[in-house]
Amino acid sequence: MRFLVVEDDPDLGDAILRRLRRDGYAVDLEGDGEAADEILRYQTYDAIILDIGLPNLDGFGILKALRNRSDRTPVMMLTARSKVEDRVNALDVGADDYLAKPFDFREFDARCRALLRRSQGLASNVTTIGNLEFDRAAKIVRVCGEPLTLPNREYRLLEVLIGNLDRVLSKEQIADQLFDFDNEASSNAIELYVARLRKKLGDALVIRTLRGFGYVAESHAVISG
Amino acid sequence: MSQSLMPSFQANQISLRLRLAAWLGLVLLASMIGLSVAARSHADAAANRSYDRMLLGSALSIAETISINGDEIRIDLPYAALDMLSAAPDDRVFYSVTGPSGEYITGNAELPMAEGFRPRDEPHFFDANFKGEKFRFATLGREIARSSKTGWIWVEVGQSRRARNALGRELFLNAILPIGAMMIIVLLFVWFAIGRALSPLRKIGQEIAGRQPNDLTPINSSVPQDVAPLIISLNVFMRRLDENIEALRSFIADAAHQMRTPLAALRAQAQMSDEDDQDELRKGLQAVERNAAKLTRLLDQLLSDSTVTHRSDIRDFSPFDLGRNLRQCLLEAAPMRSDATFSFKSSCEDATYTGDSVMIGEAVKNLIHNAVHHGDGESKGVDVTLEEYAGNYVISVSDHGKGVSDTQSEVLFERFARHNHQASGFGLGLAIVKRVVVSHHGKIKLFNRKGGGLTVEISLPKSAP
Repeated sequence: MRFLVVEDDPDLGDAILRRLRRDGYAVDLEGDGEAADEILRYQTYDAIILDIGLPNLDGFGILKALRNRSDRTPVMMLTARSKVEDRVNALDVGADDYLAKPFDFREFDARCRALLRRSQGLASNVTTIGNLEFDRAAKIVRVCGEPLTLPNREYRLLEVLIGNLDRVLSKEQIADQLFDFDNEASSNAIELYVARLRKKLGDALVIRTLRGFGYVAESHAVISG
Repeated sequence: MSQSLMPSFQANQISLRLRLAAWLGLVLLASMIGLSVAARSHADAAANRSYDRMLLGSALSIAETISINGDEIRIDLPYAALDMLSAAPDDRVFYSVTGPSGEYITGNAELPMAEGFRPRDEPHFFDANFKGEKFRFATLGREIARSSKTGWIWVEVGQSRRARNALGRELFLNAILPIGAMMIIVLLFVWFAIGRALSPLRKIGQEIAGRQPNDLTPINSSVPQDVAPLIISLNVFMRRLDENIEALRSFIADAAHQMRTPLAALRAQAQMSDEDDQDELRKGLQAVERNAAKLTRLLDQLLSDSTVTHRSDIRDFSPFDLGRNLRQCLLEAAPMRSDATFSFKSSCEDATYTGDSVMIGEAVKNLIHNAVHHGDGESKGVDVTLEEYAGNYVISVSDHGKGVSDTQSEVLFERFARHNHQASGFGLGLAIVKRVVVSHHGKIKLFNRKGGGLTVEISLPKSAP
């Protein structure tokens, strides 16, 4: 899960970046509107946090350009303006959510989860596959009802795989979602994370390797034996 | 609307309705008096005419019977002669006939004579007191020419005025009573008509009283032409009020907007600082301090803005030493911990200027602050100079920053305009400076320095126009 944060206030941007990274997301931060627009033309993200007041190109402009390219990446707008017109305007241009400054990070987290869930077509925070229970809100994975502790990266890898059940993901696609520009990862790292995850999940989730293509998590429950 | 708001003005003038009615009543009263006088004299004249005719008729019929028999003048008083006058039964009637030499012939001898009476053919009427009462007399002369008696015989008939006065009164009252009644009706009608004519004013009053306090839309109900100027000025006043409120509202919205981002950064950094990492914690605290300082600066500027706005309204100008004022500003505005160098040069020995020293101080401090923050060039110096040129004091504040472009300098004087989003300013500084300069009839100029940096130059006329 990779975020782009576009915020021109360095302190606020830094805080958001640290918050998201702490939760294991890959995050890129950009303070200039035009630069952010450029990045969005070649790099795909799972979600974008977008400030409205930006130098050179404002948030509305970036969002309009994004939607004109038929890019459906979920966008949450941040703004210091609290007028109803601003909110309506943001949603009309194609934002998925809206958060007024200043905000509480607990609300920010919840809205980010909802944003990602919606983009994956999920109605609830909990996904169940056979014996495996994936709870996004509590950030807990259960196997047969027993909680399973996963480090951040592995948790996010599982989130990516569950978000793309029965779809083949290349190592690059996975890396794109797990790492940002500051933390580029090798394909070996992905193999390592997948191996660790397989070991911890055991039979609860089948992650098949398709040589030369990538990985696929299968949705149907497996009867062990 | 609450009653306590009402007595700020006093409705101590006589009401329009009473005023109009009083004026009209006065006119009616005057014309009533005039009419009465005229009616009275016409009625009296008419009564006199008809009774004089009877009096004359009676005198004529007496005169008809005068006959001269030799030397003897004979009169056969006809019954009809006095009977004619019996139409007025309450009145007394007297008559006399006098001969050419003034001798009494018949009737009441002591009837009064008209003053300066000269016998002649035409009948003569006059009033006189007789037997304690006002009488009307008619005299009529007949000339006789006989050898023995030559001269005038005259007949005099008198009648008291009772019936005649009664007729005059009756005629007068018949004329004046309907007119009086008419006037009372007119006055009543006018009273109600004025009430109706003034009802649009009441309606407008009710409309305004019934409005929501924030409803400052123009009054649109149709009003009589006379009231239109009042409504127009009321609407203009409300529009100005609305514009002022709107300006204030947008200023507050802008100010709130300006506060939100530093506040958001402050909160976010504070929330992220509960980590074990000492390094992160320190960085977070620095960010908190940075944003708190930013908010302090914003509040300072808002205060400065409202100070300047207030003082430009009261215009409390007095002479002060501009050079000392500028030095003081530099001391106050120069940050304690700063690697920037500050210089002040003055070419004036005595720079006494008449103006508001607080406002000038606010303007200069804002300029110095801007110079410190935008002048992020290699050498972080701020130079302040004071010169005297062509009847003006010229203050300039220069930095070593990037300067501004022409298009930027247009908008920089607007509140909350910033030429650089990355910069820490809020865009209030130059708006404050401009307000100060305008209220001192001065001029402000921005130009880029040779070798980098921006100079803001304020020229203040030494003698206010």
